[in-house]
Amino acid sequence: MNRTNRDIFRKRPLLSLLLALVLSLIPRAGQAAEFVLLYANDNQGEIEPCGS
Amino acid sequence: MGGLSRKAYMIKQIESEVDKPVLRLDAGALLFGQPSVPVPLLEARTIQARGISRAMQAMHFAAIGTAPQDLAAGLEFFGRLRLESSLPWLSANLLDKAGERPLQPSVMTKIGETTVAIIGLTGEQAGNPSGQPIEDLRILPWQEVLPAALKQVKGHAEMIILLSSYPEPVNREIAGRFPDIHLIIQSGTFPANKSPQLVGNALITQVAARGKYLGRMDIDWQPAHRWSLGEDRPGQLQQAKDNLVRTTWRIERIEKRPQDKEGLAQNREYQQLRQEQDRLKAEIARLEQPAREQQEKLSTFTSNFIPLKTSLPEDPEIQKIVVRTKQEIIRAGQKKNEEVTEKSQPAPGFKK
Repeated sequence: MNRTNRDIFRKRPLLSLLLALVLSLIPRAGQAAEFVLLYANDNQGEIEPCGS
Repeated sequence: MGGLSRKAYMIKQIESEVDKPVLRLDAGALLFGQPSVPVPLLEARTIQARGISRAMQAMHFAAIGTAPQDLAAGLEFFGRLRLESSLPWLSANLLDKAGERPLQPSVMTKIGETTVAIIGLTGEQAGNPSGQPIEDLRILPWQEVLPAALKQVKGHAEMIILLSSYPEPVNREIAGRFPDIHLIIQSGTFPANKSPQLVGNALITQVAARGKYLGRMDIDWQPAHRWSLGEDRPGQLQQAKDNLVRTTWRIERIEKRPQDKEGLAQNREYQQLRQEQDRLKAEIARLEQPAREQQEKLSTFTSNFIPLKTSLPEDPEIQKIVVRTKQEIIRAGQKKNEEVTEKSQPAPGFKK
């Protein structure tokens, strides 16, 4: 009996991990999101600083 | 000011400072300064373009718009360049000689939890009216391709970005007609930085030419998929109303001219004005809904242009690519000079 309880107790962290993994895989549509956009244009064939 | 190695350094620097995901985009006009290259400069310029391509590959951009300038050495060279690297060039309206699309019209990318669709539009070359063959390629008008390109990504993406090398008036028209587009990054000949400006449901922005700056926007994207107008909402409403009065006055002036109904239907200026009138009416209706804004949280952003000063450190990996490219250009020039000298020397044994 004691052995069984110990086994269940040992399995708990594993179950929690599995649950967290499943939750993270569920698509979270409609969420707010913060990100940084870095953008450029018109490099015009420049590889070096202008004038150098 | 500028340079690819400083741009790379700055990108890495920002990424190490922020705890948010970073999306990197380039709207095009990357490889060449003009839509054509003079023959004597072709070799040096194509070596340079190869160097830029290698450097961009190392900088991991999510998408690159294709401007007419990028095709300056012809579609064949551009095709070879694409085989040498895996840069994500986009164009929804570029066709090759066979009428095939050589590039992807759009790409989907995940940035954090947000799926972003990026569409590329190639502007028409100066002096080449839309749809006319330009050597080995053809650029279709945006009106023909954009609805289908948007249909393909709509519903799959939470944000739609357009990389366009059309001039600003066209991009404004696009923003007015397609409220599904949220951001337009322009490339073209605009000489200075252009801070994001709201037109319809899209922000339009552009960085100054020749790689002197890097554009940065810190975006807080909300499920409403609309930008907050901030403090300037009454000003924008008034501006839209004033524009509507002016547009309506111009429409009425054309209608008063003696002409039959078919004449008005074929009058391009009249039709454009009618479209603009519809767009302005829709914009005014949207701006006059303050209650809706209170109910839903709108997306916000801060923006700045980072000067790539020569005092900035250089990224060593990109610096190596730049140095190697310069050496290749010098070697090609020396080889050319040797060939010219050999040709100009008298044949052996020739004596006067």
